[in-house]
Amino acid sequence: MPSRKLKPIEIEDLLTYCYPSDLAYSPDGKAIAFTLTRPDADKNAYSRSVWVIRDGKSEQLTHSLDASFVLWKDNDTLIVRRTTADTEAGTTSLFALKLSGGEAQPWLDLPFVMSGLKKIDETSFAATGKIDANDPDAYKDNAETRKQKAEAKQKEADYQVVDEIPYWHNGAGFTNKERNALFLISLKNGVSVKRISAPFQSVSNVTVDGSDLWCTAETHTLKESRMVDVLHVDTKTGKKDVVYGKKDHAFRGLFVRNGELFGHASDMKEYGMNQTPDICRITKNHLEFVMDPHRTLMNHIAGDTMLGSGLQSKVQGSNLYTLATDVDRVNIWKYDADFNKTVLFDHPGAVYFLDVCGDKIAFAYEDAAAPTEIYEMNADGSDVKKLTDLNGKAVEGKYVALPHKLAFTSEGLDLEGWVLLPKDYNPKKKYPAVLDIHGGPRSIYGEIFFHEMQVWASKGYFVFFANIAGSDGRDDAFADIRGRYGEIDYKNVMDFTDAVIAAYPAIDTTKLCVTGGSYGGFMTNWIIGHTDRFCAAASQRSIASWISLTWIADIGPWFDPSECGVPEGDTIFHHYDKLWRASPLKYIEGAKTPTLFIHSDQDYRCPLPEGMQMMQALAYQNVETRMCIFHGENHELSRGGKPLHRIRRIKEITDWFEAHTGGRK
Amino acid sequence: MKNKSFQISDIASFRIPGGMLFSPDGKRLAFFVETPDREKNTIHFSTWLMDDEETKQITYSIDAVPVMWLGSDRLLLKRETGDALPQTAQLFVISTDGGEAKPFCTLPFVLQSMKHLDGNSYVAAGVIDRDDPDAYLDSDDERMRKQKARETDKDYLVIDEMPYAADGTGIVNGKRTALFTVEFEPELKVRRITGPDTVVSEYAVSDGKVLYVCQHRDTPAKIIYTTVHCYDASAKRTKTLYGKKTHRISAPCILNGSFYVQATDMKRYGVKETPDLCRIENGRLQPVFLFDNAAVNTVNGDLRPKGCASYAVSGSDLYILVPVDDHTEILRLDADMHAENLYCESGNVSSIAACGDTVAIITQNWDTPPEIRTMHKDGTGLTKRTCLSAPVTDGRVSAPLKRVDYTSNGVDLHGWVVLPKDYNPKKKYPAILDMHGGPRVTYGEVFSFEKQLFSDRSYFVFYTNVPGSDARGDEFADIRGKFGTVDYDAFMAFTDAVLAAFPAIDNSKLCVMGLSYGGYMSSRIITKTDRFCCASVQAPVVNWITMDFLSDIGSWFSPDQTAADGPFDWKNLWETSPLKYAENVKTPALVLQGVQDYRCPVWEGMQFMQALAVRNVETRMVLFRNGSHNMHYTGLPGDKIRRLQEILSWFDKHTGKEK
Repeated sequence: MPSRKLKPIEIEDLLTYCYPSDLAYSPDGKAIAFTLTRPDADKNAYSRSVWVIRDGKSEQLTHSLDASFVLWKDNDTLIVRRTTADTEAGTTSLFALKLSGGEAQPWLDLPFVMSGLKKIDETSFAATGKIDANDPDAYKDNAETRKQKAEAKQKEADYQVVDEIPYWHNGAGFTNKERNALFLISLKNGVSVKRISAPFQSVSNVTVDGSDLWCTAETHTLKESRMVDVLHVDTKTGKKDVVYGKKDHAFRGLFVRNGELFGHASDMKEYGMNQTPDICRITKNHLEFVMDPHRTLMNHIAGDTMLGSGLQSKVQGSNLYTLATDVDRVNIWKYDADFNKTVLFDHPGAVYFLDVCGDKIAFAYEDAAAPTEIYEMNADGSDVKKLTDLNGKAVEGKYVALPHKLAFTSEGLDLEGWVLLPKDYNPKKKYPAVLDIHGGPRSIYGEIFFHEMQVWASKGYFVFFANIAGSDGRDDAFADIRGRYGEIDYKNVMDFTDAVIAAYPAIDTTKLCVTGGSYGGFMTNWIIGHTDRFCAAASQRSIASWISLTWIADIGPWFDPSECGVPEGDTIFHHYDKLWRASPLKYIEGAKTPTLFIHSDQDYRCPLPEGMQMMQALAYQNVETRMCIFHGENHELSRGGKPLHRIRRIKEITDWFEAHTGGRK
Repeated sequence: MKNKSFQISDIASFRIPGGMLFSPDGKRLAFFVETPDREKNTIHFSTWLMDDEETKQITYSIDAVPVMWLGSDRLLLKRETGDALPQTAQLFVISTDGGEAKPFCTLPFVLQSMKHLDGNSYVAAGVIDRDDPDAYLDSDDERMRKQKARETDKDYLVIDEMPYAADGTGIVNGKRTALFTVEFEPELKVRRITGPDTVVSEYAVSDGKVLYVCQHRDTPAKIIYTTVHCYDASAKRTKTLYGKKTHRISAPCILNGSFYVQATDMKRYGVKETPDLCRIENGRLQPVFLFDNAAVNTVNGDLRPKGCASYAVSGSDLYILVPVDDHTEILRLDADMHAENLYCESGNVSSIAACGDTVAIITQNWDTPPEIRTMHKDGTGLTKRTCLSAPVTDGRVSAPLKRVDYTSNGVDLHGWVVLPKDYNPKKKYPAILDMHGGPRVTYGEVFSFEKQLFSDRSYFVFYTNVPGSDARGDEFADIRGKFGTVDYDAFMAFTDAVLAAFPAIDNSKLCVMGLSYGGYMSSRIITKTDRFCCASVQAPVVNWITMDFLSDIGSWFSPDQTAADGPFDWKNLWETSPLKYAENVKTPALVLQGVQDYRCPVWEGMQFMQALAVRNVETRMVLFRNGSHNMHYTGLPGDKIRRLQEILSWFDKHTGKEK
């Protein structure tokens, strides 16, 4: 249909998309449960409900009060998490919801804020949750003691004491002396909850096989380490022992297959914190290299239409089914007993999470035409069927710009990007254009429905975006731009811009806009200090100085110096020159591009002073600039921020572009 | 003899006077008293009146501060009853004959100050919004509508200027200080007389003329230069008296029909160069009196009066406070600009007011917190007129203070040592080096609660004025580009001198503390020496580059103090930044930061703390959510108490005191 007959996609359409997460088959594979998150404009919040797919139909099970899916207790019982008026602060209320009917009824109140729950057997569960390392047994407190402690905490509200690093974490606030503890829960004779991990220990990657439990664990009092232990817990006795305690690897995941323990392990020696983990077999104090997958076995796509997550991989029988970020898409692969790989699902777009049961695989997938839906296919990859229609109506009758691939070479690399055509495109007219740069930098762009891009295409802009050096989807060497930020990546971006302009003469080169967030904000800041070719820039949650970033960000000392090429293990203090060379602030004198800054005041990944330094440095030079600070938001604003905040963000950027390309404001 | 010790909580028990206003006939002095309320963790202001008979509090129940006299028997007060429309100021009037304050009128803008102009008209300074400069004319409904719109937008803060905030005030983006003429009779008439881009910093009124110093903010960036203008009430016109952007200008006053300001072109000693007193004639600044030091009180303790004036005009006399060496003196300049020194005592003078033959000053010294004293215009008859601190200090003997002289790099310097309570030379004591901010600020024999408290806790305290400090001329104060060198040498020489003079000090139990420049110094000191067993670093500068564009004064202060060639001279900015040398630190450091500190923002303390923790150096940072840069003297009672608790706990822990 000609696009002039279609309606444009508006900024506020953000309120019409919904997001599935936490996908899981029932034990017998007859039903699929998931959480659905929907924006609520009146409350400026999100509501969550638990859904189930059975007999080919999707059904919302919970109403009235928010609920999210936790796990299947049995084929008839879903465990959901819900907060009611009776839920005490610092506790978690879990409810049992029967498929056979009835509302969710109270099942288990946990005396801590739960981060994960796994079933061991009918009467035992393993949970992880938040504790205060200085008061690790607070979970045993009675109501009176809880109340007293809450009052004391309230009195402390004017002060924040920090005495370790990291002391805050983006999205979690101040986390000083908080740990993620491991608890065993028994429902045999009443309810018993026992903390298994040590007071200053945090656990992750909890994996259950029979009565064995494995996890990774890290202990610190002043400075967190990336290198972790692998622990084993006998859930029958609660006894724990260290399986791998050399503290020379980071682990992205653990899995058990045919009774053997495997891990996604990285020593970070060759490529730093972003190095692709190897799959290793783990035995007592020994890691045996099994294979290098050469790809990130998780979803690493950049987008703005996914909230929440789900399983990135699952073992069934002798097979490991996993997501894989591959060049320009996220696929589903299967590794057999010998780790031979079969590609089960390979389509433009992105798989977000999956589950496997028997001979079926269910997964969430998004293509360029509309936001995410849930699909199912056979375990051999055949017969893919769409199961839900969550977002179809949101884009019905609307102009959705489909991506046109554009290959180009730059700095000896064969690269790819895409171009979205403006609505009602007429090659004889001239159009403004937006260059969008993804974050990471180790993530990818792909052919998914990207709301902000669609808004600009609908407003009559070309939108162009590419996977430049530093992106994910290929091997470690391609992703590794440590020490070369602002060099090869900047040249790739400029070469891509030239290639797009050459391919689409309808683009008005005096009306080029640039935007990006996080690493994309770094690059936007770099761009305005090195070229005046853009008529306007919108720099989001950006980076001004790797020095201030290292010493203020939550991951600062671990990630940022390494990205600047400071050799692993070397002291940061000897390499300030490397941090400063790569800092956009260094080049800001003489910048002319009118620049908008978007920043959240609780962004602890790229903290507020980063965008602020750039903005004030431009104002000092009387360059037109504006900053919009979002109260209470963090680094995830564009994806997970409050609905009205996300709308305001796109409005700020769009108004800025309109004002500087001569469009309507 | 009874000698009670201070409790930490006593810091929040002092009542401090400020805001002195003589009645036109000179018979009465109105002032406010700041009274902390520990229970409610807030600060109250009450209005007081002083005449020949008595000094008494005249307002109660609801806070009120004096704004201006209406004649000599009615006093206008500013008071908030909680039900006023947004962006207005409620004025009340109280009679000296008796009766409670009653509502007078509500001004349609946020009032900062007001003075009598001419006949029945007045001039007021108030806050406007650059984008809506006529909002003061809005109807009540329009006001409420705009307030609602602001509330809907409360999740977003839009800024487009530099600086966007001012320490102690908060966000100032788009805000301007405007001048208004105000008439109350026959009905309220208000007219803005400065433009939407004008920011008035100071003004003086005489004979229907308003002499004011201001800036024009028509660009995103604020500049340091100010210009001088005069509004003539009868002609209803404004003239520019000095419009060239060449000087930093302050302290306007009209004396004997002539216009005076203090001005400096900053060419010899940078931003902090001592200004000259100039007469403005024919568009030129004509120096008529040269000061040795900037005529602003820089001799400070930790109890600081608010609403202070550094100069006052009465008849044909100009009275000016000047810091000299380590105390404040008062100069009286006559019509021929001859100066007479009226006052030279130890301690400081925070504020001065004059009318007829009477001069009122707020003074303090080592033993006595701030009180109001009056004297004759020739300096005789000095009499203490308030007794606000007696309830806290009665029954306590002030800690003994000894002067210590020393030299460093050939310069004669001196400091003081506070002896510990019940000092016994045969015992051993821990000691605290307490450093002032600035650096262009001065220590003296001024009341210091924290030093008295440390003494009560059996610490020696030692403090000094090193090169960089004020009150000894521009040359002595000029350490631009030399931070961490000559100042550091002097602190170390002083420490050596104090240890030599007082063998009772245990040199393995030396603590170092400071805030602002003192925070810079304590962080810098521990990158150069391990002689201190612990440090308290408060609101520091640790990175001159982050200060550049994150501090409200950064873009000019950073390059000025580091002798850098502008805010983009990265090399020079970085050279004297403690963060550059943080690798050398071994000393356990406590970091105290106000989250609402816009002078040395929270990012400074954070950078230092994380740089220490990454090397496993023992560190603890306490963020004060309500704290601004000066929270140790302007802060809420709870914050002042918490700060001292943290410092004492840290020092006690690292000097081995039992808890």
